Order: sequence, then C-alpha cells, then structure tokens
Amino acid sequence: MITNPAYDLFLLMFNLTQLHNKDKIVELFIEGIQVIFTPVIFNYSLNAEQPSDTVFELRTRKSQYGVIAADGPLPPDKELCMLIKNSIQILAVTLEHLEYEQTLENERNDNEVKAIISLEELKKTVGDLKDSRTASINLIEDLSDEVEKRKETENALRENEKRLREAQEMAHLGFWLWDIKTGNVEWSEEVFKIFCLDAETFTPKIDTILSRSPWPEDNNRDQELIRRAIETHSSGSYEQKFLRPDNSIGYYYSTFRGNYDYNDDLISIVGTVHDITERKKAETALRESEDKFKYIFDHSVIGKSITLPSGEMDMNNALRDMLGYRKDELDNTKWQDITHPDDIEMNQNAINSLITGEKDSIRIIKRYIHKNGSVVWTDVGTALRRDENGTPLYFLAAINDITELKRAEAELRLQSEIMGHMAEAVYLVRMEDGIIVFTNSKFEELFGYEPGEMTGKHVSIVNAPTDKSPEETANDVLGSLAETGNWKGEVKNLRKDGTSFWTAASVTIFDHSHFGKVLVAVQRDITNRKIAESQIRQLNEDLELRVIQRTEQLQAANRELEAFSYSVSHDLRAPLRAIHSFTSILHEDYGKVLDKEGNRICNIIEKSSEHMGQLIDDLLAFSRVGRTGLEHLAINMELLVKSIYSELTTPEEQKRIAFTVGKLQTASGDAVMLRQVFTNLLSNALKYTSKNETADIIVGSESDDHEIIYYVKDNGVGFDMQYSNKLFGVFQRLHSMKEFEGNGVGLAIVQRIILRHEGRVWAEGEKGNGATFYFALPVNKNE
Amino acid sequence: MIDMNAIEILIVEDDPRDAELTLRALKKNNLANSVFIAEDGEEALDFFFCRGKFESRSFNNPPKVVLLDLKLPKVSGLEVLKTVKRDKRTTHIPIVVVTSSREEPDMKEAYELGVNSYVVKPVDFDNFVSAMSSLGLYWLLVNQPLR
Repeated sequence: MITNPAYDLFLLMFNLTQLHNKDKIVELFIEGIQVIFTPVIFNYSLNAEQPSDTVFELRTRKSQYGVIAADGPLPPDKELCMLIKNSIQILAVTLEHLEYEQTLENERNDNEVKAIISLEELKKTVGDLKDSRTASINLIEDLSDEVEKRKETENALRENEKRLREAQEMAHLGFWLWDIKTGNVEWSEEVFKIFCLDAETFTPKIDTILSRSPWPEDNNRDQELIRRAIETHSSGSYEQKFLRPDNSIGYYYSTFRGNYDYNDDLISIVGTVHDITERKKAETALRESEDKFKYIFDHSVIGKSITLPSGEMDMNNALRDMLGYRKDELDNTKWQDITHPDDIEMNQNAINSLITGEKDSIRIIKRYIHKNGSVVWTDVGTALRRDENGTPLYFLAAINDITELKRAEAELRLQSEIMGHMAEAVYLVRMEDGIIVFTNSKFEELFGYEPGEMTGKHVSIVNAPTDKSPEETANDVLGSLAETGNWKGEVKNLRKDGTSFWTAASVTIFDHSHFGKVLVAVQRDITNRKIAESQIRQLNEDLELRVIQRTEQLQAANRELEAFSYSVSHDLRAPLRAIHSFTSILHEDYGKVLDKEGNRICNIIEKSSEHMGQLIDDLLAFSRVGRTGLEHLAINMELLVKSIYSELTTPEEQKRIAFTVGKLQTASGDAVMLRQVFTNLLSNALKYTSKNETADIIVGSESDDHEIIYYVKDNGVGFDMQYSNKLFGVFQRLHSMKEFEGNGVGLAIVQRIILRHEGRVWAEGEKGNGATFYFALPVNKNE
Repeated sequence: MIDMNAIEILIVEDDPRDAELTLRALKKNNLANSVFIAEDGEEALDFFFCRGKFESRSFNNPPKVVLLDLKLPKVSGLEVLKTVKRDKRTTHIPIVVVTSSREEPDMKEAYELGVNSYVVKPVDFDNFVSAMSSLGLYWLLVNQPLR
C-alpha cells in the first residue's frame, strides 16, 4: 500500500479550473478520501472557528473559506495520518490555487499534477460514485492515463537507463568515444570501473585511451590495430591485458569502429571495452580443468574410452597397453574393429539399451582382440552422456582386463569339474569341530545324499561302527595325522539309507585360510575289492582244502609206492638169490658130473639171475631217488669226485687212466644224490674207455650268473648224436650188452637226481671220439 | 640133539633156501657147529627168553651172534629186535640184521633199536657166501661177546 508518506499519495488534482466549483471539489475530495480511508469519518467545516476535537491540525491559508478543518477519529496508522494530513493540506492549497488561478486564467502547472500510485484503487473508489460525477471521473481517468503514460515513459526511461547501467555493470562492458575534432576521450562509467579508476581523478586521454597494459609491445599493437582498422574502414577487435591498481592482471576485449562524415573523414572512433578477466579466468580454469581431465583420463590405471555414437573411440594409455598398441596407433578406430566378432552383437544390444534410455549404465563382459591376435577378456562399464536435448553425445567406458581372472576362472572351473567328475569321494572336515565343510558330487553319489546335504553335519554320521567305535576310529586317524600328516586305511562307512560299505581312505591335513585346520578325505568304494578279497580268501581256503586232500592222496600213493618198493626189494631178491645161489652150488658140487653144455647152461642161469639182481637194484635206486627228501648242503665237489674215483678203480687200473679234476665249484645239493650222479657218470666214463689203451677222463666245471655246469669228459667210444635224446631214458642203451654191460638206468638216475635239484642234463658225443656229459645246478639255490 | 645152551649162532630166517645157503656158507668156514635156526619171530623170542620149547635154556648162555632176518611170520624181525634189545637180560646179545631190504626206514629203525650190524643179503651167491663167512668169522672169532 502506501509506504512513503512524502509523496506517495497525492490527490489527483485535476484542473479544477474546468470545474470552477469549489464546493464540488471539496465534496468530491471528501467523498474520495472517505472512501479511501474508510475507517476515518471526515467532517469538515469551511468556516470552523476552531478545529474540532481531533488530532488534525490543519494549516491552511486563510481564505475566504476560512479554515478547512476535518475531524474524526484518527486512524491508528501513523503513516496514514500523515497522508491524510498532507492531503488536506494539498486540498487547501489547491483551493487557494484555484482562487489564484481564477485570476491567472490558463496557467496550468503540470508540475502540480502529482502521480497517484494506487490509481486502480481510486478508479474503484470513484466507480462507486454516482453518475453525476461520471464526466469528471472520465476526465480524471483520461488525465490519469496521460499522467500514467508519462510516468510510464519516465519510468521506462529511468528503467532503461537503469537497465542499461545495470547491463553495462553486469556485462563489464564499457564504451568509449574519441572525438577526433576535440581530441576528447569519453569513457562510460563502466570503463572506469573496469580499469578501477576514479572518474573524478582520472581523465582519459587518447594516448592512454586504452593503453592500460604495462607491456609496451601490447600497447603498440593496440594502436597499430586501431590505425589499420581506421585506414581500412573496418571494425577491429583485440584482447589485451591490463594492470590493476592492486597489481593483479586483468583481461579486456575491445571492439572499435570509426565514424565518418559524408566526406569520409573520420569524426570519431567508438569502441567497447569488455572486461573479460572473469571469462579469461573461466577459460583458464576450463582449460586447466580440461587438462586435468585429460591427464586423469590418459593416465588412469584402468582402461578408459570415450566413444562417439558413430563408433570412433578415443582411448587412454591403459587401454592401449591392454590391447598391445602404441600411442600413435588406433586413432579413430571403431570399437567394432577391435572387438571379437562373436561379441559385437551382444555389445551393440547393450549400447542400444543405453541409447533408448532403457538403462542408465551397462556392464558387459566382452572380448577385445589384442594387436597380436590373441583374445583379451574385459569387464566393461559404460555410461551415455547426452546433451541438453537428450541427444547422445558420447559413451564413457571403463575397461578392466579380466584375462587373468578368466584364466583363473577357467582353472577353477576345471578343478571344480575335476572334483565333480572324480572317481573318488572327496570331503573336507573342519578339525575344530568335526563338521563337514565340503563334499564333491561323487561323495553324494556314493553315500546317497542330496548335493550339499552333508555340508554342516558332523563327520561321524558317515562312519559305521566296526569292532571299534566311530570315535576310536576317528582318534586313530587324528593321531596318525598329527604325527605324519596323513593316514591311509580302510574305513567302514554308513550310507544315508543305513547300509554300510567299505572304502579305502586317504586322509591328509592342511591349514585353510577360512576354515582353519581341515582334513581332506579321499575315499574309494572298495566293496568290489572286498568281495573279490573274500572270494579269493574263499578260493584259497578251498584250494588249501584241495591241496590237503591232494597231499593226502599223494602221501597215500607214496606210501603205496614205498610198500611196493619194499616188497620188491625184499620179496624179489630172495627167490633170485635162491636161483643164483643154488645154481652156483649145482655148478660147484656137480660141475664135474655135468658136461660142457651143462656147465654152460648153469652159467647162463647164474648170469641171468645176476643180471636180474642188478636190474632190481637199479630200479630200487631209481625209485628211491624220487622218494627221499632233498637236503641242500654245500658240497665239495672236488673231494667227492676224487673219492668216487678211488672207489671205482684199483691202483692197477689207474695206471692206464689219465684222470684230471679241474677246479670244481662248490655245489649246493643233496650229498648222497650228487654222489650217485658222479658215481654213475664216472663209472660210465670208465666203462666206455675200458677198451682204450689209455683213458682220458676230465672232470671240470664252469659257471655264470645262473648256474654251475659240471662235466665229465672221456675219450671213449662216444655215441651217435642223433640218438642223444635216448641217452637219459630208463633202460635205454645205445650199446648192446655184448659191447658193454649195463642196464641203461644209470643216466636215467642222473637225470632224475639233477631234475630234482632243478638243474638240467645233456650230453655231447661223437661216435668213436669220446663223450662229454654235462649237468647244471642253479646258482640261486646255493648257500 | 644140539645143546640149546651151547648155541653160538642163532639164525632167524623163515626162507629155508636162504637158511640153507647161510648154513652152507658157515660150513665152509667150519662155523656151523653150533647153529640153531628159528623159523619165525615167535620161536626166536621163545629162544631168547628161555621159554616154551626152550625152557631148558639159560640166560647165561646167549649165542655169540644172532643173524636176524627182518621179514618173518608171526612176529617181525624188528619186533624181535626191539624186544630183545629192550630186555636187560638179552640186550647185550650181538644182533646182525641180515635182510634183502636196503630200505632206509628199515635200516634206520634197526639202528635206533640198537642193532649191532646191518647186512644186506647179496643176490650173487659168491658174494653171499663171502658175506656170511665174514660175518661168522668176525662175530665168532674176532668179537668179544659178553658172557
């Protein structure tokens, strides 16, 4: 409302000369004022001798009207009071003036017209008045319009002025003018401000027109520019530094133009001075900021890229390094060119979701192609920058090289797959409390649990009681682990369904970063093995049973054989002896009576029974070889051979025998039997060299890693090699009885004995050129 | 009639042929004078222990040597050997097993039972004669029996 009592409310004092009705004026005034100041009731009297009982104190001129007084309760508002007072005063003055005007006639003093601010209100107020006042109201309105317009114009002007000043201030833009004729230089207020100079104290001159720069070369340049511009009738502009009084440096920008008259002579030069210090600062700040950003971008450890919607990429050093490129390579490459072909579609879809606004940022795993052609796995986070219209400007991406991660992942996956496909059940138990913390799929399969079902359960659940309780078994294992760090053994386990089965377990212990001391158990189902074992055991038992049975059978057979041999040795001999003996007796006692033929026949009988006796002896000897036990002793073969030789020969006979015994290795075997062997071989050698003038008999031995070979070599009649396989057969002879006596059992006995020693026998010979008989005894049987 | 108390050689042999041959051999060496042939084990034991037919015998007049065959009816040679050697009254009597058997079990047992000598009867007559002669000569003339 009304704030300034001084001149805010002025009565619209219209040119009351037109009305010339003072009463009317007053009436209107009072009515008007009463309407405006409704709380106040005015009474006035023109001729009041004394003011009524009010506060109002009028200062009126004495006029023919007398004193204008108004009374009524005063509004509490002090300002309002003041207003009212002023109004009444003005009314009085007006009335006076009116009177004055009557004499001066058309002296309208527009200066008397005061503005009214609350025209609206007044209009409202006045609108309430009766029709008779309409004309005057209209007049009031017209005039008020005019005043209003003028006021508006004034205001507008003032506003414009104000605005211009404000604009200049805000823009730090000043104007200067150099009047060529007068040489005067004018600066606008702003120019002074810009240069921090006082308009009162500083007078701009032409040579100092704009030369605020402390650097002479700058000033020269300015002036040069100006001169050139003028010559060429063009406008010019430049930027310049200037020194402020506080020695800080400012920057300004100046444009200038020459004004020419119709002769094309220069009249004046006008220009602007624009303080761009702030802008410069901003520019510098911006450049620094940009530099900082660029630096951060370039030198970030993480790969970064700025990609245009068209695909061209700007990469930082880290990204270039990641992909194996140098600084100068890869400018303006499109991302599609260095992305793995299989990933391009996925990548494009992700980008599209950014563009459509479906997502604010995306995160993808993709493969780039390294310069050397290899694949680089990356984790890329991308955001889209738009301009103020929402148009995509560029994509900002952070790229992390996850090749190592991928490789580690792959290895982990591999290990996990291995764990999942192992033929053994693997589980981890936390030593602290015996809780199972991991099981592989084979474990679940073997024990019949759901995946992960056993995790978190106590390990004793899977152990079946055997002759030891599960706790005892556990303690055994733990004890062994504490000592050696591992334990191997067979464990009886319990399945979920309560059935038990045997496993072979291998347990080790190690420290886990998360679980602490853990126990790794690797177990294999050995049910089959156990079955096989028990089958084998059963088989063995059966076998043993059979062996026992067979042995018994053999023993029975042996006993039979013994009985047989005994029988043979005893029972056959006796009659044989009788035959032989009584035939001899016959020969002895009655030989004289018999004729030659008779004697010959007796001879035959004797010889035959002798022969038979020999056969029986040989047979018995042969069978005895198989029956008796084999004793292994170290035997001095040299002594043996020599003793046998002296038994078999008389000193007479020895004269014609060249008997050589070489160095014979000690043998390990049955003394009696080996004696038999040499006896048979030596007697053979003696027999078959008996027709020689001198007999050469050599006994020797050789050995290698596996066996010791003994031989008896003679220079007797030898034998035909094609019959050599018959040599060692029982009763087999290669010579007739006429040539040499013998039964053909001797070598069979030798073979039998040597075979029982797990050796071998063979012979070499040549008809008429002697023979060599070999036998070999295995070395590893030696003591 | 032979004086039972003057027997020097007791031959225990069931085979009469062998017995005859043995006698013949001994005769050759004039050793057959005081020979008695028992035909089976039982008879032999009766003789040793002075009973039955041999009641008249005295323990103080043992033979100088006994030629004992192993294969005997009724009581076997080894049984006889055992019994005789076990009994204090007869243990000192020299006993020579004369048998066809060269079987080790027989030999072993005989020696374990304390036989004084073990001879295998040769089949060959000459050898037989020679063996028997040697035996007789040795035990009768060389060896010193206990009386």
